[in-house]
Amino acid sequence: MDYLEIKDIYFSYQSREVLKNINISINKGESITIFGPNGSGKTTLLKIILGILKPDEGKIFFKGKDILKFSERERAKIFSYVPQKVYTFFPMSTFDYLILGRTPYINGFIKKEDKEIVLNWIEKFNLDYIKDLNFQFLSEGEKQLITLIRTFIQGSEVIILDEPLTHLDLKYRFKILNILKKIKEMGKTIISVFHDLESIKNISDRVVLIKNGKILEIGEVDKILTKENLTILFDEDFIKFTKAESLFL
Amino acid sequence: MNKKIFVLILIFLTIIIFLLSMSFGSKSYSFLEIIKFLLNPKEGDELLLKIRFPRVLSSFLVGASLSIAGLLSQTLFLNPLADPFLFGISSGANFFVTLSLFLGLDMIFKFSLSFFSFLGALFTTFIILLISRMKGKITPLNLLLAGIALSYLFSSISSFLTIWGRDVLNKSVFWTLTGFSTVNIDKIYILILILIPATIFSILLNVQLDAYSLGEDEAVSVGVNIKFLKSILLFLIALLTGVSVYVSGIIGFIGLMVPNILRSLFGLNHLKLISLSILLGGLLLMSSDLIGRFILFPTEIPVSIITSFLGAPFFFYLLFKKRSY
Repeated sequence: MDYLEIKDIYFSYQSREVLKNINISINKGESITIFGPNGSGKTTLLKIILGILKPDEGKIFFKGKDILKFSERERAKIFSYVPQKVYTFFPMSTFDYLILGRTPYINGFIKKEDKEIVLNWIEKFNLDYIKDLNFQFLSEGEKQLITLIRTFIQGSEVIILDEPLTHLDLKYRFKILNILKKIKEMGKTIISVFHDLESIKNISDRVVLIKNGKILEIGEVDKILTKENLTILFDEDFIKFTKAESLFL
Repeated sequence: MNKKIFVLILIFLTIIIFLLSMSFGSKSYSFLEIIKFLLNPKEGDELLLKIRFPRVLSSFLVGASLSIAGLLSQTLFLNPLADPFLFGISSGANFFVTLSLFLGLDMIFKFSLSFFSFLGALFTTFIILLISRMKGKITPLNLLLAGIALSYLFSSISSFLTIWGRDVLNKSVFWTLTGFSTVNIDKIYILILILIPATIFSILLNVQLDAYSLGEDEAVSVGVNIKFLKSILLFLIALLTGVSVYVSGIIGFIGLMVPNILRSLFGLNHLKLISLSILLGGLLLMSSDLIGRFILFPTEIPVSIITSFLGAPFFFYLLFKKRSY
C-alpha cells in the first residue's frame, strides 16, 4: 500500500481542464516537487491534496483511505500548508497566529497546554522578540518563516509548500531551506512547488514535471531536470544556454 | 492601555450608565431607590417596572446582539467594514417586517413579526454571501458598496409599501422610529431567548472563528469545517440582527464600532471578543439611548440618530487608517 497515492485526478475550472489524468505515488519521508510553467495546475493539485478543492474525478488516498473520508480535523493532523503568500484579514499577534496550528487538537477552548506547546517552539527558534508583534506588519520572510513553524505546531506528517521562497530575500531563503532540510531529517514528507532549481536540488528527492495540467515525467532530480526536458516544459530553448546563463537554472 | 484596566473600566461604566439610565426621565429616581427596586422589583414603582427597566435593559441587550452580529459578520465576510447596518442586513429584516404588515401576516402567531424579521436578515445575509463569492475579485470595499446598495433598495421598497398601505402601516412607521420607548416585557423575553443561546454557540466556535480569520483555504488546512461554520454564522447573524430590528428598528454602526475597537485592543481571540462585545456593545447603546433622552429633554431623539452621529466619524477613521485590506 502506498503512503500517499494521487490517483486519476481530473479537475476543470469554468470549463477549462486544469488537471488531466494525474497519477503520483509518494513514499513516506520523501520530498517531491511539482515543477512546471505558471498556470500549469500546480497550486490546484496542492489544493486538491489538502482537500480544499474537490476533483471532478479521481481520488487521493492516504495510507489506503480516501482523504475526503477523513474529517477536516483529522486531515489537518495529516497535512499542513504553507501558501505562496501569507495573509491574514484581521490584526493578530504572532503568538495568536502560531496557536492556530493547534486548531485540530482543540475542543472548545485554548488550554494552557496548547499555549505551552507554542511557547516551546517560539523558544526553539528564538522568536521571542516577535511573538507579541502584529503579524500583519511583519516582513514577507518573517511571515513565511512563522508559517513554516506553525506546521511544527500542527504536528502533521505531510508538509505542503506552495512556492514558499518566492517573495523572500537571500537571508530568509537560506533560513527556510535549512528548516526544510530539518523537516526532512525528521522523516516528514514534503510536497512542494518551487520555481528555482537550486531549491529543488537542495531538498527534493523526486520531481514531477507538469505542463498544461498533464504530467510529462516523474523521476529523480538529476535524471529529470535535463536541459532537454526543461526545453519541452517551458517551450524555451535551454539547450543552447551558455554556461553563464545556466547559472539561472 | 492595560487590558485588565480596560475591562474594569467597562464594567464600572456599565453599572454607572445603567443606574443613570434608570434614574433619569419624566420622573427621576435616586440611585438608592433604583437599588431597592432591583432587589425587589415587584414592589417597585409601576413606571420603573413596566417602562424604564424594559427600556434600559433592552437597549443593553440589543447593543450586545448587534455587536456580536457585527463581529460574526466581519469574520464571515473577512471584512472589518462588515456591519449588519452597512451591509443591508438590518434593512432586509425591516423590509420583511414591513412586507408582512402590508400583507397582513403580522398576526399569524404571537411572535410572527420577529420571525419575519429573522427571515429578512437571513435572506439578505445569504445574498451578500453569494455576492462575496462571485467569480472574479470582489474587494472588501466592493462588497461594502453592494451592501449599501441592497440597503437602499430594501429601504426604498419599505418606504413605498409604507406610503401605499398607509393605514396598515402606521404602526410600522411608529415602530421603526421609536427605538426603545415601546419595548415591553415580551420583547425582552425574545431578546434573551435569542441572545443567550447565540452567544453560547458563538463562544463554542471561538477557535474555529480564530482560524477562519486566515481565509478559507488556510482555515481548511488547519482543520476548520468551513461549510458548517459558514452556515452557522449565517444563521446566528440573522437571528441576532433580526431580533434587534424587531425590538428597536434599524440601529446603525454599533456592529461596526464595537468589534473594531475590541480587535485593536485584544487582537484575534474570539473568546474575548465575543464576551467583551456584550459589555461594550451594551454599554454603548445604553449610553446612546440615555444621550438621546437627555440632550433635548423632554423631547426624545431616536437612538439611531445618536449612534449614527458617533458611528459615522468612526467609519471614516476605519476607511482612512493604515490598513491591510
